[in-house]
Amino acid sequence: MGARSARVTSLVNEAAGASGVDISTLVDEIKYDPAGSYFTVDPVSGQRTLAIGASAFEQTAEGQLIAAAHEIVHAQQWEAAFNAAGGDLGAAYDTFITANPFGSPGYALDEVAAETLARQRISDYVGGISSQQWAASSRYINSWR
Amino acid sequence: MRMTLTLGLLKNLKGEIPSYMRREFLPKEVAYEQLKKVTGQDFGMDAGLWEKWVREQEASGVVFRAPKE
Repeated sequence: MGARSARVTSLVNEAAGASGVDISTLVDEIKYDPAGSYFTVDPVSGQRTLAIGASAFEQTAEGQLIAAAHEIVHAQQWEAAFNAAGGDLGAAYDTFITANPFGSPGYALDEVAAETLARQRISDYVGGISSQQWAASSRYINSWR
Repeated sequence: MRMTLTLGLLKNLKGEIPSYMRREFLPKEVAYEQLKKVTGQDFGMDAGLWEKWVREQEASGVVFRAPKE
């Protein structure tokens, strides 16, 4: 787990650099979670967690970067919701998570935005991703349109 | 989490999405209702039957989409 955690931190830091963001302002905890990659917020403490899952490491290097960049966009979406709520954790949580459960139109919009932006950021960073990677992202984006 | 609609609903029906994944977690009953709405089918709470049918449909090119509310 230790080696995986170090690899996750390195991956997220590289993806943050490629995304032009300071990850320390967006996320309180970066970790490896065998269950999957996700961004979440604790509704009580407000702790923001970005996790990278085991399946991310089954992908190519650019696929791993896109997976991390995708979760970083969600962290930015949360930041925008939090700021729009005037720093009210409860109101931001209701807007970002409670009102947009998995499969809802709001969730779908967030997924399309996250994958589209992540793909473009990493493509710019590596000087163009493979056509296979681009197509895989397109399939994912289209599934949520 | 980068997870298609049907994969997420099936995983939630099977209880494979932990509740701390707050954007992705759905109670099993909610996942079941969503699966019915998205597919127009009803296999009850039998995740195996749902998965078999969904995979067959997707293999033949069907893309299931979230209903526009």
